[in-house]
Amino acid sequence: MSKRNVLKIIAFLVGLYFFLEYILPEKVGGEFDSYEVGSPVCVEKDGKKLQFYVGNYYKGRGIIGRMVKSAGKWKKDQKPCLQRSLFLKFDQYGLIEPDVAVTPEGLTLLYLGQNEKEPVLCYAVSSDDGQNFRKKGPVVISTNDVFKTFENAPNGQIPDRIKSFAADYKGSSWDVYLFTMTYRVWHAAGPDLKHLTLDAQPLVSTALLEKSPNAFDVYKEGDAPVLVYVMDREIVEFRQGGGNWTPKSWKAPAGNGTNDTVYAGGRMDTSDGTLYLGTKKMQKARPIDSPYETTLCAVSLRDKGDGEPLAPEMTVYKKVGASPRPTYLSYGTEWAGKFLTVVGSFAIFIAMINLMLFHGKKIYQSALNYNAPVGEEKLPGGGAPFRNFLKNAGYSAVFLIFLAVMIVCALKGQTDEAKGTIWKTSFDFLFNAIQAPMGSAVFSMITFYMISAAYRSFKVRSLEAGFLMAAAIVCMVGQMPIGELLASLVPESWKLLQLPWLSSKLLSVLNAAAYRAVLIGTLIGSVAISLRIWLGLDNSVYSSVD
Amino acid sequence: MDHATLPIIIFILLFSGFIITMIMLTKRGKEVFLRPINGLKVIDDAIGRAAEEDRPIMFNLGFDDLSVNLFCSLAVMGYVVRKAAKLSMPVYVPLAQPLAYAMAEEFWKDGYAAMGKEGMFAVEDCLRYMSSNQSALGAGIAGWIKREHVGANFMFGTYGFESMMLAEAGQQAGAFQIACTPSFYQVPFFMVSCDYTVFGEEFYAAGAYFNRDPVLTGSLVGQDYSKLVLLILIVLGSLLLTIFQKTDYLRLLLQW
Repeated sequence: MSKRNVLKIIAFLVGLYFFLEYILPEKVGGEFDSYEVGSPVCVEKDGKKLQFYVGNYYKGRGIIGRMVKSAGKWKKDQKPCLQRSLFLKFDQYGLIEPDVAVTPEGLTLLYLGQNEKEPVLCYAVSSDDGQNFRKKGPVVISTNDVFKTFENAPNGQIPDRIKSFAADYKGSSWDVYLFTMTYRVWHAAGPDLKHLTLDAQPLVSTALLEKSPNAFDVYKEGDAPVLVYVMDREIVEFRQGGGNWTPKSWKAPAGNGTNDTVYAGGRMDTSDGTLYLGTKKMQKARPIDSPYETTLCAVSLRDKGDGEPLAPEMTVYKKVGASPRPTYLSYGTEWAGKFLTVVGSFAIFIAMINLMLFHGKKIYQSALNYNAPVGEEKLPGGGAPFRNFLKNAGYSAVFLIFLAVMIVCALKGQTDEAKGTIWKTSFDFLFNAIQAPMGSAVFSMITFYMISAAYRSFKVRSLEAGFLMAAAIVCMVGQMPIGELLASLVPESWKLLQLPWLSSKLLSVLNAAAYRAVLIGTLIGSVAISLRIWLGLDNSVYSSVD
Repeated sequence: MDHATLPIIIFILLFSGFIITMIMLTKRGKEVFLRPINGLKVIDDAIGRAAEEDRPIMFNLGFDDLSVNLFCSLAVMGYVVRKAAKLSMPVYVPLAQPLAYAMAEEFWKDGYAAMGKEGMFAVEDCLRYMSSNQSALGAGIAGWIKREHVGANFMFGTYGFESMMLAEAGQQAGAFQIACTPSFYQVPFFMVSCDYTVFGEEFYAAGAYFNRDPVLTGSLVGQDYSKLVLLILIVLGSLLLTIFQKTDYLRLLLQW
């Protein structure tokens, strides 16, 4: 078999692997919460304490995990108990803000499903054991024809987009509290999650909650609801008494790190005391892909009544950014990534050698000709030897010197012990005081290039150039203050003559349509060439083989 | 890795079906018409002009790392190098990515070897890894174009803001310039500075114009059928959504 065919087979197998990895439905395993954990809720059933939380294995891909408390310790299940739908729309982009209640069916878990195109929707699932959930469809709320906005939405006639919610099941009736995007809290009640009736007025109006809380839960003291949430890093309990809502707050317990913050997520009275659940975010280090080093679910245990919070009881801790393995093939993706990194590192090495060879050769040749008599120069230039040398190899010498200095400073100055040393200071100086400003200077040169290019292109030599010129003037003037000024002189009904309006239409309609057309063509073109390479049909790729 | 949704899987299979079917048909001898693309037709003229003026050729590969865009650019580069080798002319290739450097070197050597001109020019003189930093790359190439007084400047592949620096430097040096890029936002800059600009899917079609390989021409026709399907869907969807905008099921179907 020829070398070319061997390469084609390898390329096909690698391509097949990535294709399968892309189209196979994911099956998130033990690292489903590797990116972040949050929104914990707790329930006690048959004397067993269960905690459910949202684990993200990828940014914005929440699925729900479970923890069980046994022998005084919380233990996490290795696999998630509820995953997002792959082909059903309503929670295709993840599950957020769960709440849980004990019902005659066992456990009923409500969550908000995320979808790219629709507002979040509230759905319910139920389970006997808290592990295998059956999806029960959307929570449906009806009103007395007060709200018409979302009448076609699966959740029924809800007053606003839901931001968060809390649910409670007592005495064969559901109480659902909706926290909406306009910071209002609405109450709906009913015997069945498919037949909830919304109150005519919000429970809490905008005036009471001025901004969005971080977590939201509701529990009942007798028949009176108490809202629990976190505002400005404080746990707030909001009670209604004598017609007024009164907040009571205290600082959420912090962890060991100096900048740690605990966000409470829910509250539950248990036989041990009152549990306040939350997530703790440590801000010690900041990896590139995430602002937090670790995210913990914390449980703050308080005495029953009004005691001070005891030390937080940590339950789940995850390193953020650990690579998730959503399918069985994902192990290979990780391996392929590492392989590419290694090959890339060698390629950088080769590229560096190429640079050094090129510049080294120039310096060497110039040095050989250093004492060449004037007029017999073998290299272009002439004049005094040193000036000649500088002219022919000066930049190369500067390049090689800085390359060596930068490498040494970077290697020696990037360790933790190097702070304050000459290496670290030199590296910072070279980077911040030389490379960064020089980069900005080069970038600013584009302005001059643009002016010279614009001068050439704006000469009206044809009908097309005339259109280009007219469109450019409209867009430029339309976005300048003078455009606004001119528009104010034109009556509102003559929009076509208002340059800012015309400019925005040119960009958002004509330009966007053309851009999409080009984009479609480009993407189909890239599909075609990928297919040709994958199936080994395109011989130009292998032209240097054999 | 994010996963494909059902509609995406259907479209991938549909488009792949069109492309593979048309490749098979052209392989069996089906004649297809390829619309002439001026920017690609004049590549020979650009090389010829540079040869007449005894000025070197530069072929930029953009910012592409190991990707399909790089393979497209390399296919054209191979053609340009062979043509230049025939006329004993140097082709300079500035590079922004180390991995692209290794691949371009193979294509470059192969082009000269195919014409029996291996060793005529030193690799380290003609292929240079410039920098992965856009500013440094732009400044480096602009300097190279002006120093060597480049006669034909080809800019293939993906570009960022450095496109303006490259194209204007070539313009000021009086080079014959052809840009071919899938980077939509750089197209205006190339248009005002280059003699010919090719963009969009024509970038991916470039390889087919130099050798009328049935695989390449067939895949181009397959692409056109795929675009036709999308065009029909867009028009049909817009009409139906306008007419039946109150029908919920249709709305959901169209949104899907």
